[in-house]
Amino acid sequence: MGVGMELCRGSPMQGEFCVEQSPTLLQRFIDELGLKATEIIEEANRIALEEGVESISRQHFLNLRQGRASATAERIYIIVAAVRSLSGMLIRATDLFLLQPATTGAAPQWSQAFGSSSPTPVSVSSYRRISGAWRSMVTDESRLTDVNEFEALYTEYGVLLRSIAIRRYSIPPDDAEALVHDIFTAYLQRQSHVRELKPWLMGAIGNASKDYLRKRKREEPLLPEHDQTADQGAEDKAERWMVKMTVATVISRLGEKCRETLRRYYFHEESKESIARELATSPGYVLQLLVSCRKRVREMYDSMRSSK
Amino acid sequence: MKNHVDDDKLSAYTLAPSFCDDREEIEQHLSRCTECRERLQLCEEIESAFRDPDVWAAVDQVRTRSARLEAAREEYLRIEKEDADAEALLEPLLKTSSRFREADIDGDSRFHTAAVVRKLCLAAHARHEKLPQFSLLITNAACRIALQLPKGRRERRLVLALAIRERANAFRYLGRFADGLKSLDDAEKLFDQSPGTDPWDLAIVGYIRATIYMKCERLSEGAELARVSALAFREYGDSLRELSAIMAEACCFALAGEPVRAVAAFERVIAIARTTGEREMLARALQNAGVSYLSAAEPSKAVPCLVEAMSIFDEIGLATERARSMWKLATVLAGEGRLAESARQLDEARAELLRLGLGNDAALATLEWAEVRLSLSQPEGVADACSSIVIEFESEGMRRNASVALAYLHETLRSGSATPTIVREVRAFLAELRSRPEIPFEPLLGKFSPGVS
Repeated sequence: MGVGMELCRGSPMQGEFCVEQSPTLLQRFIDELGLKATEIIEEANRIALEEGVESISRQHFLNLRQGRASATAERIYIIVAAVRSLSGMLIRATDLFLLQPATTGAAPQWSQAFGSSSPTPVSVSSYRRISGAWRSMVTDESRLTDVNEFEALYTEYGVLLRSIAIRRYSIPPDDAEALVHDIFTAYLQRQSHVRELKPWLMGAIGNASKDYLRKRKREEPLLPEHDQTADQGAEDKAERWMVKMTVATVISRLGEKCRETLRRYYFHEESKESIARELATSPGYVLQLLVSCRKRVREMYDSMRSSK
Repeated sequence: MKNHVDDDKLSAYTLAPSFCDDREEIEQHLSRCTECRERLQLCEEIESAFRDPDVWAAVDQVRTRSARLEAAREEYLRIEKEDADAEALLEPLLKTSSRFREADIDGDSRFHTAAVVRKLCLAAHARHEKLPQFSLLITNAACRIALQLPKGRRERRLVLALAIRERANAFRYLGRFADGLKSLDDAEKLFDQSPGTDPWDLAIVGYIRATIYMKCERLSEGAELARVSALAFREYGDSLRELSAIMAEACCFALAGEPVRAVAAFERVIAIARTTGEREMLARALQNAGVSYLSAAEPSKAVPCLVEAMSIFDEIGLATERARSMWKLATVLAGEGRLAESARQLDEARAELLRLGLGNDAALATLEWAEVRLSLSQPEGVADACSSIVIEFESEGMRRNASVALAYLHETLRSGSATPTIVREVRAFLAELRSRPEIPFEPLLGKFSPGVS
């Protein structure tokens, strides 16, 4: 009996979710992000202890990875939380598990069944629009319009794709951004052909990254564990990095005047007088602007941190 | 200072302590208040972040990403609009082939968009099976329009590739395999602009090519190409196409007379289809595995496959395939020597196949029924049933060969010399005729000249 034969034969048991094909989404994530199964299990069980829910055994986790078992909602929760914690990415349960039936595509067409006269396999490029699939993947809210769903997909799933390019293939962040953008653009041209968007995008980023490396004749990419951190010093460093990145995100959301005034004053170390001349205003106004912009940054920063 | 230091004061203190009027008070409070010290530390970190080149690089990166997102958003909206326009233009024209031909869309500049090409490919794909000539007409128009798109437009090359690939598919359905392979060669060369998705696009080309090889009896090439395509589809998590490709590989093995390898491949499809929930694919793989088990002389393994296939076809409402599974089960019964039971089931299956319009299958099932009845020494009704057999073939040569074989059968039935072996011989010949159209009928038992009654 092949792998996963016991799964999805009929409706999954109530309260359980069907885990899908091999390689499963979970397995693909683990591979793509270079995570270690033992670390995920440890982290999941730490979270389980904190939350007072059932922990997960190594064997059960292995079975889930191989698509040979199903998981309760609680176990899905601790695994997703563990992967989030280890990868630093806002991964959803639907990124790791098939929690709802796949949208049905066009039924494969056969002109004849094998055995009647000659075998004819299914026709190959059945088309299907997948906006419904986006909906189920990107958000649970069906009120969003398609373009918003696309935007959400680009923003949220793009993070994962960039991480794969950067972490697994050691591609510089700027280039990883460009690769991800190219993949989304390529997708738009082929959307009628693509059936399962998420794994398709993951396959695409993998091939785009490999092509990038081939063209640059780079050596083997660093393994993900090379840049993993564990000691306290590293954790502090990571926390400082988080602060800096949060500030960067906040600054990028400020209006241009605020952002550029902060940049000139702090980063370029221009004087208030110089900035005032450029803005055709008084140094006092620049000071006032700096104070209010910093205050705004602080407020946005607090708001972002408290929402995490 | 009894109360905590407010954020404004902390911020000002961070910026320039000497400018704070109540500096001493603030410092005294900070010396005993952990919470305010932590808030001050955060203020200092934010202050320090303002001076950090990494932060400003990240700001620029985020802003570039926003620009990219905006570009992607615009692209999405542009394609949506183009698609909607194309749909409105094409929808009334695609109702019949004559209307489509009369519209002469490649001479009308309103139709010269990438979206029209994409929609035409979609429309052709939906018609390959039932209206292959129409689908070829559509794909030819798609190719001509793609060629007329402005050369500078970046999507021109891609939509041309898609159109040519779809035309190859149309040729495949029409049995114009050489034309199909030529189109695939052309399409292949055009998928070279998107490293992330080229392997997937090329895998689709490879899959179509594999199915053509299968039809042309280039079976080992077909099996290998299908296997490679399946691996590429797997990489993209495209499970349905992966299954289709493995199925093609299995069919190549089956046609090559390698039922054991075919069964192994069909079993792979079955295993994957069970986990992905592809019910129709599962049923077809089960049916094919059942037939291959029969070829491998393992009827005990064929039965559960065929029974499950029949049940799934029944459940999903595929009556034609259900009837075929029923027919194959009757074949198993005959193989097990349960002739009376087999004859009953074959009779039922042939009537059902005929009712569903599957004339050729009904004819072959009727011959099988005749063979079983003769084996049971129950020739009543056999001659009548066989005289009503009609088999449709595409070419004149095939029709002539089929007529010769049937005439021979009718003659032996009329003269009372028909035996189960003769019926089996004719049945095997007719079943093979489509894949070997050039071979004339030559009965093994005794000489036979067409036209001699």
